[in-house]
Amino acid sequence: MAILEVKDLCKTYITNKRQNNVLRNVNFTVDEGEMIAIMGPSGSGKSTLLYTVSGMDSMTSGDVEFGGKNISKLSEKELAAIRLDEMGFIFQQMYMLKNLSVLDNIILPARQSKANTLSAKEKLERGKELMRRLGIIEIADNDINEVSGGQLQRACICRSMINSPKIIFADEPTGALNRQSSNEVMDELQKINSDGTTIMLVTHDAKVAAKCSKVMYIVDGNIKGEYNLTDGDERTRERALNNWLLEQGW
Amino acid sequence: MFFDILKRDIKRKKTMNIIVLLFVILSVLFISSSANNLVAVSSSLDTFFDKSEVSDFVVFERAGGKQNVADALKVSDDVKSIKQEECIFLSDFEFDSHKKANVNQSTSTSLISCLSHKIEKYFDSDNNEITSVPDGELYIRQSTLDNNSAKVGDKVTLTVSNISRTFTVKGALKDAVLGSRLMSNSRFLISDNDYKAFEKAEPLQPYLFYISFIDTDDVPAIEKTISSCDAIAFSGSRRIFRFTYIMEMIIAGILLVVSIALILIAIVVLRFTIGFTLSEEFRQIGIMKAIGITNGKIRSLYLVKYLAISVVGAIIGVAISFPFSSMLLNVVAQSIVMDTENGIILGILCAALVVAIILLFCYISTRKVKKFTPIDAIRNGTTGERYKKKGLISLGKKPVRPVFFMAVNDILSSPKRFLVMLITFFFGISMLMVCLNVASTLKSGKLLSWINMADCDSAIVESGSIEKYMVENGREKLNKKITNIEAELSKKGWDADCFVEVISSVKVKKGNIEIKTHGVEGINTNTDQYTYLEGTAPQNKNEVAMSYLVADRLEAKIGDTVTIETTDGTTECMLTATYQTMMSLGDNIRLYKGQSYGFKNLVGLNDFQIRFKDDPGDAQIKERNKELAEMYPDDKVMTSGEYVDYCVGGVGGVMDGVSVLLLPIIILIDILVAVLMEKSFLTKERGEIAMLKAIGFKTGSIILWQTIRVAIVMIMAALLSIALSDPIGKLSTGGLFQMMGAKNVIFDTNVLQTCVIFPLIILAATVFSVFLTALSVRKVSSNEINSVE
Repeated sequence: MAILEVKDLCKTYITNKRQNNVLRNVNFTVDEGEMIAIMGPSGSGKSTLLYTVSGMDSMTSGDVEFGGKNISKLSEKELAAIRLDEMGFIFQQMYMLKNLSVLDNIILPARQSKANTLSAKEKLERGKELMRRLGIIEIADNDINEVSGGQLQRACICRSMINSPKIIFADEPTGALNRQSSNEVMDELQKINSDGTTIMLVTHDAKVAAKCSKVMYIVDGNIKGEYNLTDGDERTRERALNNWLLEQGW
Repeated sequence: MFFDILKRDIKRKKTMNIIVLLFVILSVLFISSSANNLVAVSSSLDTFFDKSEVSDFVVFERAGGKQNVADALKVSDDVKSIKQEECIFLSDFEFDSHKKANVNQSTSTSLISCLSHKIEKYFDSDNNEITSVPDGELYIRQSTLDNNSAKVGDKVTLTVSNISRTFTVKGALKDAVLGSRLMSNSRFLISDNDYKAFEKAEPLQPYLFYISFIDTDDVPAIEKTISSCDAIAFSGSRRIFRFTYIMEMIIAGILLVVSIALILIAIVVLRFTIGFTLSEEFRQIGIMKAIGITNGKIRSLYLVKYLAISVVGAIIGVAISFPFSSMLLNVVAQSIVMDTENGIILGILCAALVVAIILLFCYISTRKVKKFTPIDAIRNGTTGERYKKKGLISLGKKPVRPVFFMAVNDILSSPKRFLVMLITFFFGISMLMVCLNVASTLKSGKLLSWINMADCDSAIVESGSIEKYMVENGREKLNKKITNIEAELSKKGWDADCFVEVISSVKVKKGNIEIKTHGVEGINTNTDQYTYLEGTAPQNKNEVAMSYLVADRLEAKIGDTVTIETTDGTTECMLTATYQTMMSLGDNIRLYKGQSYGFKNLVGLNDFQIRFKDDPGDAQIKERNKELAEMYPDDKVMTSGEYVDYCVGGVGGVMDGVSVLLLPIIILIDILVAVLMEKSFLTKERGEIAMLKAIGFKTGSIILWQTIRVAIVMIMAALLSIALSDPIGKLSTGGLFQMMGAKNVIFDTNVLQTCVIFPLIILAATVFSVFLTALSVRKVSSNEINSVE
């Protein structure tokens, strides 16, 4: 069952009176429980696509249906509420509030959410539980400048999970991490996905994309192809993906 | 390239640069205006006294004394010259158009003078010497016109004994000796012919008055020589008369304090702005260093920018300061012949001083440039170093809204960021509180004890002069009047005490020290109804209390014996108590009740005070006062607070005016600082704002978070100001009160006005301006998260 349906999505920027069509009639569907990677060369429109379908950025034309709601028709307030309660976000730069502890940063969206009916105590417990699951409970009371990049990105994953979202959008979640941290973060995302949460991520890294179930390749604002990764060991999946990417012009 | 970078900087940081410019303008405007005013008032006073030809020592003396001043000084070697002016004091004066508003129509002596008798020179409102007064017209000082709600062209009726004449006010009079607001006596300058008409009054002698102008190098010797003169009402050196212009100096003084505070704020703002600009531009600075530009060159970039801003600000500030200064001096210029010749030079000097201070500070602040390296530019400002823990509190399971928690946590985690705002708000609110506290204290009935008067609920200022009591049986007449008032009140069903203070001229001696001062006696009061600083109230005729100033001058301590000489003889008295008073600039002694001295030579009579025995509330007193006003239609009825203000020469009103002037200035400063800070926070926190938006925070919540922080800082500043208002008030205005005779100040705070209304007005205006600034959060898009530095 589709959680996200994108129809004829266009996004145009006008800079210095010049029209720049970043997304051109993009169409795709994401089913519940899928883990999709968006790949493509720099400037192809990957991040713009992610931000547009998640309601963070406006679209020029087209429709995006998320959980049965057409987000192109929603107000800023309604979009904010959807992002808070039904979506989770992970970014390349591990942005958190500098003055809050790691745990407070994680539970912040839960405390802000009106849809999350748990008590303050239960929200705190859920935050700790997520940190335990991701192996970072020991940094709960630390400031964000006291922890490593890998720990911080896992904390960001915890924050994205705090309101039990239907989908997590991740923009280059491993972009600022070393290989080991990158693997750990992707393992966690895979676990979350296996628990039923849909994940849509943007990456440059075929090793990261090979952990997903589907890869979409985007060039000049168009989806050039989609590749379903079949079962197999990590190395086989990665090799197969690399071959497909080469065919696409990677 | 140098100017290109500069141009871009000025363009890019438009708001911050404009705010710095505004602070420079305000600093220059205030410092040059207030310095100009202070110098103008103090130097003008000297010039005014010189132009008016006021002597070194001036004595006011009634006719008919056993020994007069002229005779006493005939044999003195200390007198260089002595001139005497004859005046007549009035039984009554009444402005036709505003009879009921005639609050200054008091028992204080008001004089009439004419030009043929004059010694000192008089000036009109245009600073021209008055050389003639047409018959039927008169000149009067502006403050008397103001107090009587009268204006030039109005009619006023003057009465001396059995003669009354009506005059038209020709203009305002500038009179060095009797022209200040603090002087309760005022002079009516009339024509020689009109004066002659009043000389036909019967009897005339009780109304004759002489003002002696004595030139001397030894004022104390003159004081000692004239101490035997029994009809002296008041005497003082030129310095004392100069001092009576203190009210005129207060505004200039307060503005100077505001100016200094403004310069401090401007420096703090500048330090913040430079620090912020540098931390924002670590990358540019790093790149400039990488390509070989020296520290000095980079620093000069900022120095040139702030030089340009401060020079432009200084020019604008000086230009505005001239009309602003004139506007502020307007009140003062009504009583003094102003000398403003040096205003332009002083203004330019002040502006140059502000520019120099700013540049010096800028030079010191840009030392930070040395710390930046090309590596900062490469590593995006981070060095990989881990920092110490910042957060002090945790959200955890606290039942608070996240935005409130975030706001409080930001302040606790980075207090230095909010310090500039806290200091600015605290300074502003404190300054305002001091003015409001002084104003409310000087209009509070509780102050009666300060001026060594008995506590009362109402006061009746009787129209007409005191001459009716200045007779042999004056005491009986006064007692009869008091009994009548009490009987009238009793008929209304009000059980009340009525009492009054009489003032005579006395000589007090201890050892070799001999001084002339005022003796105060309460009629129908007990001496223990008054408040004393130390000791116990006099209990018999051989005991006396005196103001601490008189005791200091006599070098007398409690328990010492002093000799008191009145017109009726000499008494040996023991000093039993000291007190503070604001009457006669703190210079008088309190005699035991009934201690006899001749009422014939009274120099003053305070007003009839009433104390209701059923302890009515404020509203009830006001109601009763309305009825009292109907019972005594020719007199002015006041509450105790109004009476205090009246007794201290309307200083409370002046301070109210200063508070009203300060409020918009403080609001403006607070708004400028708050907007500057908020702008910088928004720039610094752009990434965090984008992140909050991305994870689903509504724009309204983010604006609330930004606004609450400033509101909390403002509330903290207000609470701090309230907590410290007493010590700050004493520190800043103790000197003023001491000059007026009171050394122990207890402020009577109008809690609603001082602690609630005024801080709320400042809070509302400042927080609203921050809210408007924070609206720019709407422009931050959640997808900027990866593009923000």
